[in-house]
Amino acid sequence: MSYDIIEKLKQEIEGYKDKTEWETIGKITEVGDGIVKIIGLPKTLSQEILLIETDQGERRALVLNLEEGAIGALVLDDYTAIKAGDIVKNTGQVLSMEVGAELIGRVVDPLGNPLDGRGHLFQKGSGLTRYFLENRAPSVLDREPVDTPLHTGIKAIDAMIPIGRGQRELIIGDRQTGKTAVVLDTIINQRQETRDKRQVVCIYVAIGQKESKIAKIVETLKAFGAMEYSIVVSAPASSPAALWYLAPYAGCAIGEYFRDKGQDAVVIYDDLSKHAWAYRQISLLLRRPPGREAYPGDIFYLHSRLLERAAKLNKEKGGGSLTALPIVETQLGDVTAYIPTNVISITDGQIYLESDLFYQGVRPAINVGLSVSRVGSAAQTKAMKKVAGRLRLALAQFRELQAFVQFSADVDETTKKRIGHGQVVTEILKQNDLLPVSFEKQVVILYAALNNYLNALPLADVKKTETAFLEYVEKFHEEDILKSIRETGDLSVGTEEKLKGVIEKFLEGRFETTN
Amino acid sequence: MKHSRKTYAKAFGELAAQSRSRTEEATLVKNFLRTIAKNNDTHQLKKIFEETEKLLRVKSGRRTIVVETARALPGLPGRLKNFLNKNDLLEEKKNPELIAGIKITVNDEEQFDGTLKRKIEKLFT
Repeated sequence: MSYDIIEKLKQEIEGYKDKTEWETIGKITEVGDGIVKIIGLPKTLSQEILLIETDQGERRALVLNLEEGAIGALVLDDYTAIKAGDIVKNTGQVLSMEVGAELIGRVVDPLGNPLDGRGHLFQKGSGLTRYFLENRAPSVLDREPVDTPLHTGIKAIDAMIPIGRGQRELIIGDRQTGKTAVVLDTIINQRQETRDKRQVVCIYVAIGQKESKIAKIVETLKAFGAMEYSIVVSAPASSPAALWYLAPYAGCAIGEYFRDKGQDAVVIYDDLSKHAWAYRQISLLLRRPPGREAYPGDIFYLHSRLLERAAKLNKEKGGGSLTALPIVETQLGDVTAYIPTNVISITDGQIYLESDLFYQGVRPAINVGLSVSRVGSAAQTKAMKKVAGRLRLALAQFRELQAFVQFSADVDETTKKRIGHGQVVTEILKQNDLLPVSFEKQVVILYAALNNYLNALPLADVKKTETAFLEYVEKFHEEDILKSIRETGDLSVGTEEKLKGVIEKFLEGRFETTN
Repeated sequence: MKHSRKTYAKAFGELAAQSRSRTEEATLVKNFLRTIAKNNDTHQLKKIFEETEKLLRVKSGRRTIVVETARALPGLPGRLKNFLNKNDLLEEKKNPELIAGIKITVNDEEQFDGTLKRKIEKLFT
């Protein structure tokens, strides 16, 4: 073994070509908090990577400020070894990372280094593709309207706030309302979601989160087999602000690789509020003038250029798509704060999670009235459109009448029926986390609920009946009902008739056994 | 800070460009210092000097050349004859950490690093 090592070393030393040349150099004048000020280097490009030569090796820095006599740069590696007077050199390269299918199943940092202890990502020298972290969004002509659904497996979302492949949908809510849970369900659901045989690659970008939480998420994804098609980009809370700032762009670059290859990808930014804080920290250290809430003037551009890169490309460009699911945390439900309003105006809709609903037991705690998807039914299968068309209206009417729920004995029959129906539907829409429901099963259960088949059930039994019913359909009617809905995407007249029969038979059987 | 360091340096540089006698030069420098004191910018004196020196050097085309070697090299100005211009300022430094070879820095802007230390570093990264 030592013989091999010596041979390798000999080859390296022999093959080593020494080219000493004149290089333009700069000097560090100030260093601190991850920011360095450099004088010299007159030909530096914006966003260029500079190499700082310290006693403990080379460190990389990203140029952010080009001033008249100085350069302000963000240190990407450990900055403790850097001191004033250190020499700085140009590289001529703008920040980029290596991307490829080998990233799938791995946990990486925003600079492309593996964090899961499973060794190198790529084989050296094999035609590596590099993608810039800052890339231009596809032009108007390269895009196509969104028409394919991205099923989250959550009934409330797929029925009323449908997300399409290529859309940007914001998930917004207070802390501990289930934002990450919605996103994890979406990732897990992509395992059984092989529409048109196109596996969706999922990229989860963790910005500023606790390492324990990120570890838990990776374990959860592994347990459900989701790591076979997912990538995690991690910038944990202990990493420097530079990595928090770059993490979403790294995740987007990886997603763009798959998008440009004609595949579908979804990238989740958890969460952009912390990303904005990191950018504010960097801008204030670079002495850029602070604006509202001390955020820099270009905080909108920070997120808009990131989210615009999520698109559905037309056939000429490969037909791939990149869906973005940014998460924003609000304080005390205030969606009128600076960052939430910015991101709401950029995305194609939002899913609004409320703590009140969460504590009432409605989980996922989606406020259907305030949530919207601007792509809407263009991203729904025909079957779901048929079934869920009336769902929003039924729930809106129920919300109007909710005040009467407490004394529902004192109202007329029609109102009582509406209230009862609304309560049943709300129960059906409740769902435990990490249990996504495939869309054909959603169609079946929503059909039963919305066509008043379940109105007679006592509320406490609704969830149990739902589980039993779905098991029944899966066991006995996989071929004739579920498969037909799944493959055609539609609820044909014949299938509908069969479904009606199945529901009636099941409920008869159920009442017989319980009574 | 009433005026920026560059402004002082530029003003002085343009005045110094005109040829003067020895005594006139002395008066010029004295007036320059007096102006700085009047503007309460004496705390910046060191930095203003650096800027002025840099500006004058650039104007006159003189270069400051720092040569670092691991051991003292005798007869260095003679050996660098082809490289040095008439008015260049040559400074020699001894730095044993470089092991061998030579490192030449011009005006703190350009560097030629032909030291063994750098070659070893490049080999093993």
